[in-house]
Amino acid sequence: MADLRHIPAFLALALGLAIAGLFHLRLGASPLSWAEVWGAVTAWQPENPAHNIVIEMRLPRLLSALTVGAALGLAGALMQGLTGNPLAEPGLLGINSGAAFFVVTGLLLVPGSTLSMLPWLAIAGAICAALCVVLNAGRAVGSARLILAGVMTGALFSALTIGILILDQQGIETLRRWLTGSLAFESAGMRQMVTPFILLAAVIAVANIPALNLFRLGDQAAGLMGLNVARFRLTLLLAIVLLAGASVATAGPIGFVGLVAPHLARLIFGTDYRLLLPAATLIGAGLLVLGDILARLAVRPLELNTGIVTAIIGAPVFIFLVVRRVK
Amino acid sequence: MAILEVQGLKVMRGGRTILHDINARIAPGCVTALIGPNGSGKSTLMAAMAGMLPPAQGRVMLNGTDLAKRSRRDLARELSFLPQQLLAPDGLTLRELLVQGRFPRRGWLKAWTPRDEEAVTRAVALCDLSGLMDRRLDSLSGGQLQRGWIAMTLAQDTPVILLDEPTTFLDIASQLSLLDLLANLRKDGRTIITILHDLNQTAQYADQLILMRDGHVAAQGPTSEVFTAQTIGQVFSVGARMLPDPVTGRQICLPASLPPAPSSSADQMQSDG
Repeated sequence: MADLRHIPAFLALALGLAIAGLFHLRLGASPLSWAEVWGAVTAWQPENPAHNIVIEMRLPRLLSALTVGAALGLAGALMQGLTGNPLAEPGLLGINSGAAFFVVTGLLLVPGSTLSMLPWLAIAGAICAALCVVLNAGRAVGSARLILAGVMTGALFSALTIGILILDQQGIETLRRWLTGSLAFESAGMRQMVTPFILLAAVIAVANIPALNLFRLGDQAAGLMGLNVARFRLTLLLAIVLLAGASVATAGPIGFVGLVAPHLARLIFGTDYRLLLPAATLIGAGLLVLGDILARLAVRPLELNTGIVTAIIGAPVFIFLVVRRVK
Repeated sequence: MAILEVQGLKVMRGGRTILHDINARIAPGCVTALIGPNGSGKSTLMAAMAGMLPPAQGRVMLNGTDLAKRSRRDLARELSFLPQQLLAPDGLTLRELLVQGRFPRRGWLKAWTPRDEEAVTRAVALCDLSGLMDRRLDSLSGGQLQRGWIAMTLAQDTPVILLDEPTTFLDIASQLSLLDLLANLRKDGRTIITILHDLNQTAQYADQLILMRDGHVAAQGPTSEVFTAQTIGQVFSVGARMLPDPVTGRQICLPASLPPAPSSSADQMQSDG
């Protein structure tokens, strides 16, 4: 029953998320009043232009930010649990870059490709990049080599992506924004397509909570306690590539949310994965909503890419974590 | 009747043969100790007995079935093994560590049962950890942490318990209380296999000895029969004299280096194979 004392913290997180969501609906290129936001949410009138901005434009974007942020936060928590490395996340380990490369290649080079192929392309790319990282990382838990393998994989796939785009001038124009991670397009259809993947990954994650808790003792001790380590690794890897693929398909490669969200969750809730997984998911969603608000406010009336904002905020956090670890 | 039986076991590591054709029988309800010089293959044999190392030849039988044919989870309900070096994860409390000892018994997301709680409580009492349960592992001393790992192994509540050098990091009083704990577990009907550094402690607490040298079993049998000046001298390459304990009359071994033998302190630096 020790878990009851965490309920207030979770309520506070949910409340924070709701408030951030309301700000997300209100702020933007054309700032609205609270009355307009409230009116749109509670009594939508299609003929009211302010209501239309909220419901037709900002609400889908908010939902996409929530979905992608939650997927990235969960993916980061799973990756850190799987590798025992606090720096693991889909962005840093090149999984997002691999997914993006496959999407770009598929859309630009395969004739007759449609948007409905995009989630599959992204997941295939995530699998490919994950294999690249795993095969190069060696077996040592928590090793710097894992991060090096990830950075290398990310650089390789980014370079390949740029190479393809340079050959295709048209492609650069259409994919320029998407490639740095953006929520600025119409993403409702894509969000619906990737939701089943995210739900499947969430089920895998929840089913693996006891194993994740055991795995904190390292793979040797986990094996001694009867965990099928190979199966555990494989199912978690599947969940991670589904989450990374789904988020890249929806919003392009967005880094650092997967790194920062589990760390914040651990600061509040400790290392128990029963608390850590839901907390990292909520915090990931909240961070991306905040990032998206900043992206739209910073250079108003233009907007920054959300991926750029998360990188600007996330990079110092990353450096802080590395310095604290080296010390 | 042996509860654990090693049959013609050969184990290779990195292309090198570490164990050659080992045959050993572990009697149920006894404390069996593996002894031998560093690099003689004690730890490797123990890991193979726990099913952690795949045999190149031969097999290990637990209650008449081959270990290799069992799932890890199934095995973890009958046999627990505490290896020498396990990393202590950051941020865990001692209680969280001990709870992991119940993992093999717990189903898919099954709730914590009174039986789980009882096993943990018993392990805590046996290892004298009751005041430390909410402490973080990184705040514990080496000896407390070692007792924590032992308690986790005991929380697993298995009939067969393998402990590789459990007295490491423990001061002499804790060493003796751990050895008494082993004796109590034996009284409880458990089968214990252990590796201990101190020869005389080993002889005092173990019913059976398996003496290893260069990846072979040099001798095995009841302690009273194989703990002799001659076998100890041969296995460890030392001169050994036996003296009776003035109080108990038990045999005590006094090793002395043979004239050309390498110094034993240099030997200690090598990692144990």
